[in-house]
Amino acid sequence: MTLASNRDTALAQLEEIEIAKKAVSDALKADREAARDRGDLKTSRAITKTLRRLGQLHVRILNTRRQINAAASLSSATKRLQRLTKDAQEVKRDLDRTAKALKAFADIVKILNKLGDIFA
Amino acid sequence: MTFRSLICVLALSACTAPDVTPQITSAKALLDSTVKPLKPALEQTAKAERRAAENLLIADGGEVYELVDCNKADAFSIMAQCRLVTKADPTRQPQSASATLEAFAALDAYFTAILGIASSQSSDGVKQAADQIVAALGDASQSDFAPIAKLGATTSKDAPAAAAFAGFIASQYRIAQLRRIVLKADPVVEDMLLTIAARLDLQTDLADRQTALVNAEADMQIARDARDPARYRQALDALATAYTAFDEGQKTAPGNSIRLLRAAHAQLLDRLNGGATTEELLATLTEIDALVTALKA
Repeated sequence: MTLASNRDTALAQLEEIEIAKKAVSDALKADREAARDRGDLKTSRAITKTLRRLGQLHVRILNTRRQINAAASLSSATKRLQRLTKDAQEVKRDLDRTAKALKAFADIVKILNKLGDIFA
Repeated sequence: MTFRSLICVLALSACTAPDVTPQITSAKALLDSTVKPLKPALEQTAKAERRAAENLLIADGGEVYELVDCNKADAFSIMAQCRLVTKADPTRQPQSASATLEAFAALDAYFTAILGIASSQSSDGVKQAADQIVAALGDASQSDFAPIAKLGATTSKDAPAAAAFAGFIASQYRIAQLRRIVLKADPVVEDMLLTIAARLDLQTDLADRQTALVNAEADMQIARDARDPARYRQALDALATAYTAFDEGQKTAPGNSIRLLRAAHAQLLDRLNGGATTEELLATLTEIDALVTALKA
């Protein structure tokens, strides 16, 4: 398994944890409102404490995701972009060369015309 | 469907040449404004990293510096080519500032190169030069000197079509190449920007600010359940303060403008893949019209 696919797997797993965490959080929030409605403030407070832990877990997941992304190698991507940049510079040179070659040909035809006038 | 309308439809579906110069210019400006404030600190860290990498080589008794191309006899060559090359590679270290700086330089060069193609006047130059050839050949056919007149007469019949075609093809080549390069670069640019944004975000206190926000929200809920208006008010104010701090941190995080740059590159690709403006479609139609007229002549 390559480094990139390891990273993708890790990120996908984090995504799954994040989705599960959100489902639990939403359910707990609904339970808390229900507890409040029936005046059960003790349960509501207990749920709030759990939600705080889940919120902190969410921040840790985000940070872990940053750490995974940050650990990727920049050097190989930089080299790939440098190769494409060279390619782009070559395309620009091709275009300039074509325009110059045609301009030179136009000049030759003009000179031939002038020569024709001289020899006529 | 006539030959002419068929060409128009085919050309409009495949040959429209969108002007992407504004998109590339703004992406490059965004990159410049992102890099500028980060550069001094990155350069300082990169310097320390280079020294650390050199120290590793020194500890092993390895070669650190090498003078390259300094033995040329020609004084001008010495000035132009002689350089001190280090064997130390600080970019190999994970999350190095040197690698980030190198990536920024590569991105800058990339945007400059594609801007060069997008804003290139070469296809106009090709058309102008071709028009000049046509004019010159037309003059040649009027020449009193038989060989030149013959050259003019032989070539001038098809010359207008060839000239129009040359300009059209050059313009299409330019945009097709740009599309090819930007398409290939897109996943690479995404990869680089994602990595850089993550590295920059990790250097901020964003996670701390977000944790403080989560805690403030929980405190507010607890205060609400306590049925104590004064405590609830205080908790609400604390939550608002925590939110402002988090929001400010998010907006000013350098990773944010990197993410905007990612979006700008994706938009550039979208623009190249379709989405031509009415003016561009009309310009293409006019171009094709001129081409068809020239072919019929």
